[in-house]
Amino acid sequence: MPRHSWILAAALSTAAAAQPAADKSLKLTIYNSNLALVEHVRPLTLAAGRHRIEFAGVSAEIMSQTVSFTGAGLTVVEQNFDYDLLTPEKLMEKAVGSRVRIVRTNPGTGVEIEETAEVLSTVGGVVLKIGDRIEVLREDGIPARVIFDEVPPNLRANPTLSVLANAAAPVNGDVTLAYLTRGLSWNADYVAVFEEAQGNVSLQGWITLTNNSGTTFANASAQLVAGDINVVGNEAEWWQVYNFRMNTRNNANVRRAGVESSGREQLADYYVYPLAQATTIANNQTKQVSFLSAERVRANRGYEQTFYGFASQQEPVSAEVRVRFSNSSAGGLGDQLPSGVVRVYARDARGQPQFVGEDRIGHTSAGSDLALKIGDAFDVTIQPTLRQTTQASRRDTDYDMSYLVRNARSQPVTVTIRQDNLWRFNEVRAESIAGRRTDADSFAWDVPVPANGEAELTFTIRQSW
Amino acid sequence: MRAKGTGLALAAAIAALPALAQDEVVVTSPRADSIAVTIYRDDLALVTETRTVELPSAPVTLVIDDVVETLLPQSAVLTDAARPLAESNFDFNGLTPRSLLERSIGETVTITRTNPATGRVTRTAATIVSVGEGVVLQTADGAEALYCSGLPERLELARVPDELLAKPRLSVKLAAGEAGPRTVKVTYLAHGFAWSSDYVAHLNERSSAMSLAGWATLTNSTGTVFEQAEVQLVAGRLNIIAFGEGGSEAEPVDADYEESDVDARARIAREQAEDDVALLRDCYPTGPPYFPRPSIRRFSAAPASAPQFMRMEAALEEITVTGARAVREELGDYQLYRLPWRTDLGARQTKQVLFLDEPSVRVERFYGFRLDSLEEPPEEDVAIPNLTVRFENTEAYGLGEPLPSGIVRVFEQYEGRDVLAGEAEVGDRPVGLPVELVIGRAQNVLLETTAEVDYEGRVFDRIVVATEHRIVNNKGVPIELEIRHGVEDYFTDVDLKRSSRPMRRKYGDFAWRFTVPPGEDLLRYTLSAREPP
Repeated sequence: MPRHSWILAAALSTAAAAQPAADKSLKLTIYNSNLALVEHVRPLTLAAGRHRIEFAGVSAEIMSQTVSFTGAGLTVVEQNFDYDLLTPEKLMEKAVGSRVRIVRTNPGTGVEIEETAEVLSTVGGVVLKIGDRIEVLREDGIPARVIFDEVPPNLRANPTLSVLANAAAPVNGDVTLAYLTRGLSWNADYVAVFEEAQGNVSLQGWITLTNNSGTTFANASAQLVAGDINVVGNEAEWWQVYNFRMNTRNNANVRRAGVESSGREQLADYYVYPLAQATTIANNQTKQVSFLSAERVRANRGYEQTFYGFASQQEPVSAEVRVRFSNSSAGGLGDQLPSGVVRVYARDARGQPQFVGEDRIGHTSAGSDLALKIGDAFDVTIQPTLRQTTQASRRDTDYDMSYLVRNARSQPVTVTIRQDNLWRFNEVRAESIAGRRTDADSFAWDVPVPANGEAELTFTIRQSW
Repeated sequence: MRAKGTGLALAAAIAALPALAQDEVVVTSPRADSIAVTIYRDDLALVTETRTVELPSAPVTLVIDDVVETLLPQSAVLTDAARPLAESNFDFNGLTPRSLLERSIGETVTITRTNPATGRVTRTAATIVSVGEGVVLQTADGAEALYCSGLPERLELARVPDELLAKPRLSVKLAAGEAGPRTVKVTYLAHGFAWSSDYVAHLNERSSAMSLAGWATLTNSTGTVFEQAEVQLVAGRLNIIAFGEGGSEAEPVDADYEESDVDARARIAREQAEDDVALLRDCYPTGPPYFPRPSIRRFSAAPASAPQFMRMEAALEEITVTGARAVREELGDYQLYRLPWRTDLGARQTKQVLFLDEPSVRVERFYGFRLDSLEEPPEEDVAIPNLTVRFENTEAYGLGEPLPSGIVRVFEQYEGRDVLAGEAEVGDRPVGLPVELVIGRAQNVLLETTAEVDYEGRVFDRIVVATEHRIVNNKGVPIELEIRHGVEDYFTDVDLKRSSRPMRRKYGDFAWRFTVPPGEDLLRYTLSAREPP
């Protein structure tokens, strides 16, 4: 029904603006970074000649410089994104040179007087010509209504894209309009139920789509691209890059990057997740679609804490709790994980899943080892004490540290303590437990602590400059 | 005439867009059968709802109404439906002045104008043509802009468009399956909940023991009422990804985020609402001198239809104190406290529950004083030590229960009455750890500290500090005193050369603990250290 009325409207319209019918197909490619490629295909019937073709219902967050329009038998002359939204100001601007009616209400008597006026200018104030007089609208502050005869046809309630095109012969086919838009984005969300007793985690992955573009996309076939594409103007500042690096280094939850490939569809260097069914993404809607489900992925829990520098602390420090698993096929998962937040649940005494913390992962290739930080342990604490500092020589200093690890849980635990950010030359001179060098400027020790007990790690590190 | 026809067709097309596809089976679950709420420390709760729904065998859209408005859509999960879930949608087209007008484009409304002199009211039928920066109306006379004439003007609408919801709505699309009644679980995280712990301690007359009661204060600042809910509280620090942290990990996080998430959300919502309302009033230039626009405040003064969480700041309505004690269990690496029975948790309500009640915890009471620099003397000539209550969180001391962080208020007996002796903050304390509460400053106990600094060594790089503390105890009874001396990290080879009393190390400090009889006493010691080259 709407199709016929559109053609009729286009044919009868003296402004010769053709409006294609509703979308025949609508394709969306949505990226992680608040960006989407939209492709509308709409049927169009035109006589030969030059036409202005209007597209309503495009995204309000359209990046108009990215619009491309194609149609068989049509040559584009020019392309306009008339952001001429109908507002009171535009209404007045378009009335310049034409007549409007002014209804003034006398604030003393309440008498209404109607006059006809010609709008001369709207810059900085509305200048009117009423009969022989020139006036500025409401300069006297007296209430005055302005009545316009009609709404100009090219002002609209929604952003509209118009294309001026030449048709060599009558056209009866499909035209395609493609553009990039802001306001559509997606990321992954994961629900991980950690079954500690069974030593596994069940992982469900959801694609979360958000639409804040101001437009509803009806019956769209959507695909999602995982990967951080470069967008000019979106580059991070140096300090953001620095912060990010420090954050990644200090809280890295990827312990070993994977080298497996999954059978997922790829686009350039990115992974593509097509949605199986056409879907309607309403404005202001958050939509979730399942894309991954893995049961009984081998997992365990670990405690760790990293210390930078040597210092005593008055308050005990809680150990970080990490849930560790691998997304390798051997571990039971075997799929890459697009960037998102993993929410971890554990069961309470009644078997009900309870939320126990969350961590963000980056795009993680299959076969990676992950250690998600979910929180601070209530019952596992570390008390650091700097016992002595000794100047061994002009450049060498020995640091004698003690870490008292207490465990109030009824099971024994192992806590990994890392001493990080050491000077350029560093070595362990003595240690109560055999540790290991983790990189050029850090060492780590795995401290076993008995149930409801404590253990002390002591070591001496010499560092020099 | 033609233009008008086109306008109507356009309006019809817009109205048709949000409608769902035809012949879709929709089942609505109006409310939960039972509900469980697990409240975390900072502005978070896990809500688990049990709902019974009658499912047809065909694919179905299940609409879940009456969920908490602060729901985090990406955390929502439906389980036990026994059929595959195609997608899940969360819609919140909140009812605001702007959304109301925007969704009413093409609708017939009434514009009411009041003549400022005569008070005569004129009512005119109009159609909303556009809502953007300002509102444009079409009347039988022609087109007009709303709020531009300087007259008092008001719009009246016949109805609220269906797609505008006062509360958010969760809906899930389920594949075909077995028909019949089915009990499903809906779980999601929601903001607007918090709990804190407070302790009340009563010292006995000899200050050798105290009773310790722990109270959990839980707050529901949302607009949702929970009837007969199972309530749990979780103590411990969970890793929570900050609000406003966007899509990918590549977006760095501002660690010094001073505003809390609740504040940020409320502020953003408020600013958006204000901007939206301001934009509705945009006009063509109305010419200088600017006529004061009618001060129509009906939109800007806290719109009644604004999202619920904007009103969280409103005073919490009532505080309920319950008599029963919450039961503790371990949840992973946290402590979980379960309220023993189902309880009603009202909107904007605060409730208090007892979670710890120990009749007699053995305590030591001493006065403490700490110097935190090797060579810098204390700022005042005369220092007053702090009154400290110490105990160990063990069964031997009469305790041995995890203590979630909170404020401890200590009461003393004075002439048969309870007096507040002071309060102190305590962090999460697992079983086995010592707790020291600094509750106030000493009365009638003074310290005079003097230090003599000397340099030794071939290049005078060894600093030698002789410190003397003169203690004046005017209490008339002996007191326990602990003096600690901390040395800055940049000194090396720190050494206690001489001491008038035995020393032990405490948290890296040099510490002396001794009894001071009434009158005066002395502590003398010499510390030496090397300065870095």
